[in-house]
Amino acid sequence: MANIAEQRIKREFKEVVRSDEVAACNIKVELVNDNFTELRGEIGGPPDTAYEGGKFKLEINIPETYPFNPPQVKFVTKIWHPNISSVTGAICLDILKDQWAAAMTLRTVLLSLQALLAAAEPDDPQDAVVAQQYKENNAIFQRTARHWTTAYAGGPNTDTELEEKITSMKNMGFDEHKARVALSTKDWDVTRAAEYLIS
Amino acid sequence: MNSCFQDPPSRDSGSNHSNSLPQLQSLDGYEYDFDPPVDSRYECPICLLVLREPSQTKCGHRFCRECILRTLKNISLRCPIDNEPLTEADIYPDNYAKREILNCNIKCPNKDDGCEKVFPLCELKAHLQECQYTLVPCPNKCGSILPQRDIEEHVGKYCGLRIVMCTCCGASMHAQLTQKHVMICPKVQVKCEHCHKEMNREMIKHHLQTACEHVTVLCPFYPLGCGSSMKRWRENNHLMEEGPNHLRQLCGAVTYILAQMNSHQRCVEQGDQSSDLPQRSMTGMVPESGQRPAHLSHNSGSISGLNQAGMRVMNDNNNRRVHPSQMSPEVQYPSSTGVVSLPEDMKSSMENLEAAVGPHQTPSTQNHHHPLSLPSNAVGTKMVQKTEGRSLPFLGQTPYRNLADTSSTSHLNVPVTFSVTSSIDTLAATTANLNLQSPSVQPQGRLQEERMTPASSPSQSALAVLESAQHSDADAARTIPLIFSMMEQFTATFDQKIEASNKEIAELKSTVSNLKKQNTELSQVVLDLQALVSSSLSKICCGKFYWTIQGFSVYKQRALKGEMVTLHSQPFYTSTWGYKMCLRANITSPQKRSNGSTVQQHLSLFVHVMQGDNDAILPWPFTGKIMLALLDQNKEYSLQKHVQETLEAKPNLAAFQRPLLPRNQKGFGFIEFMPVTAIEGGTYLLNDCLVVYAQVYSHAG
Repeated sequence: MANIAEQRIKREFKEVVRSDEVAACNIKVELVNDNFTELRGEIGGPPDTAYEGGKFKLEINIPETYPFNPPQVKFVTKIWHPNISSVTGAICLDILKDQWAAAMTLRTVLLSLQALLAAAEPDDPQDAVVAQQYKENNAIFQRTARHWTTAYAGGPNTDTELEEKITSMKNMGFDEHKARVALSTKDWDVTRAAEYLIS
Repeated sequence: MNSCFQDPPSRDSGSNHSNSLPQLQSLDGYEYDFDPPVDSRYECPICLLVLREPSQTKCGHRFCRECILRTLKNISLRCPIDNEPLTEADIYPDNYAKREILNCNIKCPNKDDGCEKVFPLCELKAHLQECQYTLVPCPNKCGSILPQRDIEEHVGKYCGLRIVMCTCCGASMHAQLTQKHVMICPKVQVKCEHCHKEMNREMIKHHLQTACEHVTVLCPFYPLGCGSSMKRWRENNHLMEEGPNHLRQLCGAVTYILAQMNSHQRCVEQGDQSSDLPQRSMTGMVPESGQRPAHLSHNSGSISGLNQAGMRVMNDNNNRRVHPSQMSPEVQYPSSTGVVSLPEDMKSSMENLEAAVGPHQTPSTQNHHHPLSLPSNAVGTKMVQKTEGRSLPFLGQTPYRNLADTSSTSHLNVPVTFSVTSSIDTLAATTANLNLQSPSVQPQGRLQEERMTPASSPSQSALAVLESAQHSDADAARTIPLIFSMMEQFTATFDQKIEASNKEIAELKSTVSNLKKQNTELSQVVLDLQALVSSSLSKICCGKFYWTIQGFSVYKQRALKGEMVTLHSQPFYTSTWGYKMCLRANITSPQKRSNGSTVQQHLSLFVHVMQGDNDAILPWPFTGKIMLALLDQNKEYSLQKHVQETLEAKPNLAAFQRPLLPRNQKGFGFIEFMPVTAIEGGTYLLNDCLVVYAQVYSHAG
């Protein structure tokens, strides 16, 4: 890694770790290896959203040309969000692409992601299925997102009805995660979800 | 204030990044430990360090100059803070911020090494130059890098490349070489391994050779048969104790030499009669042949006397007879110098020898003392000088003088290293002297003759005798001088012959090389002529050209395998002053068409225009008619059906433009002139040969 990238990540790392704001906002960065090219981030779900109470892990890769190019960030924790792929965790956020500026830091990236969880952009979606649900059936979306937060990010709210539907799908012989994806995609209609899975 | 603007050098913060580009670091902001920490206003948002060359954008944000320029170059022409459009022209140096930053205090970059200085950033360069903790390379270029404060001590005490002087010999050298030098320094004190005496290294060799009492040396009589060796301090004792034995050995050797001389004499005489080699130098010395038998008998008589004397010496030694009254002043000489005296029994043996040889003694010898005392040379070297004083008529004095020199360097009466040669010289002298005693004895002639031939100096002849004595090969020794002279003669003759032959060979060589040269020139002329003839032939064909293609079946097989078979004919001219052309024939490979049908194998014929001698005077492009024909070789003339095609040269074709290459790449003709099956079906092939005929009519002539 170019020296400038490593030097800057070192300095940023100190900044993120010691910042009071960081503690207050529930963001965290950890090193994965010694050469500062791979990092592990974590953001807390913003309050008063479907993601509240969840802890979302992120994979951060620093390019050699950092900070003149953005870091590559994706969600490791599964999440139901119009701008984040429910399959790969890829994020659609302008500052991680063409709107990146050298003055941005890991801290601003994590805070931006937190803001993205609070305010989705369904018109610039990463996951078209989720975005459609968000726009057309927002109540189901909110419920689904909360359920995913509980299932994958350690969220506190248990939705018994949805759990039961997954259990019934599991009893039909389907994998739990696949069942959850199918049910989420088909607005929790068990029949359509089953059809979706076997087709 | 201007000096404040000097950019202090960035300290390389660690060697672990040595592979990264150094300029990247110096372009970053200042990474010093500011004391107190610098306000965040002066931090670059890009590198997160204190601004280096602070620059302000028109939207009011500060960056390091390099950081913002790289951002504009690599990301976008926008401000990294507020995304305002930005170009290089919208960035201004912020000299206020720069001054403020340069006046901020920093801790010395060497603080971890112990420097506690705190000073404004602008003084960093000056400080680093005087900071005792700055790492600097050793001025002797020994490769060490160490803090400034340790350099002086390093250069003075530890640097491997500092110059030091050897305390013993005074030579100057690099310090790292001193250990090696001590091992070879000639002035260093070393201990003799035998006597443990200390001395300079350069002295030790001489010490061992001449002085060390504890070195083991061989008895000087070793070559004569005494097998003893002893410490040097014991040598004198040994010589005294073993005197009689030594004398016996000496006597034996002398006796043997006399016998050898006698046989040599005979050999020489025989050689004189039989050899046809010119020996003019010898003949004068050799007495008249008529006198020879008498001399020989006399000589042998004296030798038998000597042998008897030798026997008697041995008996006397056994009887331990003492003759103190017969001690001669000459014999006493060495003892008068306080060095050594001959043992009693040795003297008595000499007396006996004297008595035996006595009858042959020359009355004219000035010394009343007996010449046989000479062998004592081998014992007491002082005696050698005596011998010299006697000036022997037949032996050069040089060997004796040498011997005397050697002995005079030593305080011992015995030469310290008694070489084989010197003892042999002594023996030879003795022999000569013995022979001298009898005026009628012959050996001086022989000795002289030996000295005439350079290869056989007295010592060498004596050595030969000694060797032959050791090998008991008297015959070989006898013939050696004769062989020597014969060999020399032969060698001279051969040398002459070889020289003549060499001369002859050199002459022959030069002749051969001249001929070769001529041959090459002539070959070239032939080649030129051949080329001229063929080009002339091609010019007088007047546009009519027959081309025989041999081995058609081979080409066909190659084409069947998919190989591209292309043949070019010899060039020909359309007229003497016309265009130069050649024919090209291809045999195509059978190919499948897209519709499944197969294209047959064909003979293709083309005409190629070539660069000719007349191109400059001809009109271009070529215009005219070309007739190509494949001749029917039916033996029945009336049945011959030639296949012929005529074509008109189209002036717009590349094939007929003036050639830029020796042969125009483009040709003109027929890709499918005739199917191969048709060729093989007819009588176009004769002995696997095709004959192609071309006739070119040029409009230009």
